[in-house]
Amino acid sequence: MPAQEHHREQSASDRCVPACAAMVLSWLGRSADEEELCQGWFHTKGGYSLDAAAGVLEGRLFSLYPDSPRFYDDLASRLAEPRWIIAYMFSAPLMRFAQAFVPQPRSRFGALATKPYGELHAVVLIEADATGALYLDPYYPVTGQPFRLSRRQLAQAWQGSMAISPPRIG
Amino acid sequence: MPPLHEALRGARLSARLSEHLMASMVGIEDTRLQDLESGGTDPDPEELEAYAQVFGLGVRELAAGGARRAPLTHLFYRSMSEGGAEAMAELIATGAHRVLGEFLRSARDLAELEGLLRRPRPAALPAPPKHLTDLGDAPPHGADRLADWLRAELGLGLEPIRSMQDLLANRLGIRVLWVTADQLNPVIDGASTLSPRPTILVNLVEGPLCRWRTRMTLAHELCHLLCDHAAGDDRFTIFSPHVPREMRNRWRMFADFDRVERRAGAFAACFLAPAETVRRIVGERDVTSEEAITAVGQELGVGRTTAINRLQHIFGLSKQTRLQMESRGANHWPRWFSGERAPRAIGLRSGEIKQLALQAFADSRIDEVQVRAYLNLPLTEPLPEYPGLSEEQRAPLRRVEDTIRGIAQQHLQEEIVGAAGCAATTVRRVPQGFEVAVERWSEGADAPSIRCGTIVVSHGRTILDVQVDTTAPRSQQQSE
Repeated sequence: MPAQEHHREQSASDRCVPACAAMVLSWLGRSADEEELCQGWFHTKGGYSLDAAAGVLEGRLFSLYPDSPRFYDDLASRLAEPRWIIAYMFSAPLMRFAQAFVPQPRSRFGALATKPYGELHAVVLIEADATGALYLDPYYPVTGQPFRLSRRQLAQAWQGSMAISPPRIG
Repeated sequence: MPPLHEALRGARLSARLSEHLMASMVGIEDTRLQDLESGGTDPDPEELEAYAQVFGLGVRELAAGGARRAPLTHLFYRSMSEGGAEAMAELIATGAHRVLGEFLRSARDLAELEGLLRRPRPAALPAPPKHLTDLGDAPPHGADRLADWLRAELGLGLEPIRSMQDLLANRLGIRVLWVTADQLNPVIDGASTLSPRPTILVNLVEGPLCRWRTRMTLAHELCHLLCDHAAGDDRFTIFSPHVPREMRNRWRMFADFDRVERRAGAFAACFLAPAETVRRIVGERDVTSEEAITAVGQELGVGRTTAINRLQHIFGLSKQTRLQMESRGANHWPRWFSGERAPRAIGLRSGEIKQLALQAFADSRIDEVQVRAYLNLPLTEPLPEYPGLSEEQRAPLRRVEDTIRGIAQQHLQEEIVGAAGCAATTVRRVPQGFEVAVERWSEGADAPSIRCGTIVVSHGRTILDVQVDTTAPRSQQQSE
């Protein structure tokens, strides 16, 4: 099944993490929709966390800070198993890069970043090659997805925290 | 692509390493290793990096199962199959395995960069006839005949070799990488590998100005490159410990290790100081005199011990005479040789790799991320100056403060009730790490922000303190 068939558009502006978890679960062959996940998700603290996403996926929460010289190789080696990764991105640079995509993605929630210091936004990384990485973004409809970031763009938008899925069997 | 945990386990098994040895090499507990290899958990970035380094690979090659073909795997396998477990333990105890791994990675990167820049591949090294590479039982294990053969093959005649560095680089296409004794345990003099390209590592144990020792190490490693790999198999790497005779057993990596090392040592002496040349230099002098020793050393660029050894062997001096010559000592043995320059750049990622990586970036053959991987330079650091690279091209890709702000922002989003609409903003350095300002925005992109707290993040990137008032009224003093 092509990667975009697993895409889920988030249903509310703060639900990027559950929507990402739904995408990864779909890829793993486990049906789940965002609403279901949100109901079972602990939401007692500030919001939907990567930690909880890792729990739902039976995966692992992980920090891979991009200031390390070889962060990209590490990331690529984990994606290659293959596994999918829910990763936080800085929304402001991610939005800037997305403006160059063709067709330019538009979200029903408006601009991804509206403040000088954008919030973190979760996306699903699905593949990395020698020049960049492909990702599915729940903030936008499926058209044009998966999107592609160059290694430079990834290094600039990458926050460092991620929930890594178990390998897909078969 | 195998699952990562299978790649890790496969790498260890390819090298016949026990769980305990492997765990020691990576720097983790045995139980942790078992967890990683069973897929019970994922390796941390540092663990994955250490695993790859043990085999002289990048993490992507390791994950792709590349350890099976790695030269270091070949060495470890041979060692574990031929009773070298004690030597492996010595190697690990000195921490030298990490530097050897990094050396192999550097050689791989050199080959990659040369390929990217379309530099001509080095020609194959001259292959000595089979009868010259047989070790035999008696010292010097054919080293004298081998040295004569190589001199003839390269048309060097009997003249002193002015520069081993030039000979290796220009005639044989061998790259040399340099480290110092504070980077690699001084028990290791050098190392060499044929794959992916002929490369020698020199440990400048006595400093970069001790050129006679450098020349001996280069010639020693050259012998390994010429002779000590199985026919048709270029997955060869070896390191050369410099240990007293009584410790040699502990460093025997494989069955023939002792003889291989002795031959390489003898080859270095014979190659740099051919018998006929030594006789000519000594001339009418008393062969046991200090004058003769000094003349041989200075004209041929070898050290005092090597000069005495050569005089003993060539003129058939007794052990007693040799001991007397040695015991005279030399207060001021010249630590220079006119033809051999000091290394220009010391450090595995300095010198050639640095030049090639920056050139590849300047030519747009690699990007800003890849050039930093080759240079082992954090993305938060600017690139070194290089012709053709603008300040903008050299600028860091991101700042440490970006990462810190991201950590604080995640805490805000995930852990603090009512923090929606707050953002981690400016970061300043404080003694315990970093203090991140937290500000709240009212609706609308142009609305002013209000400072509503701080989050302190340690240098180790953990949250130390959180003071955020999520009920901060709109009228609160505007942030600076």
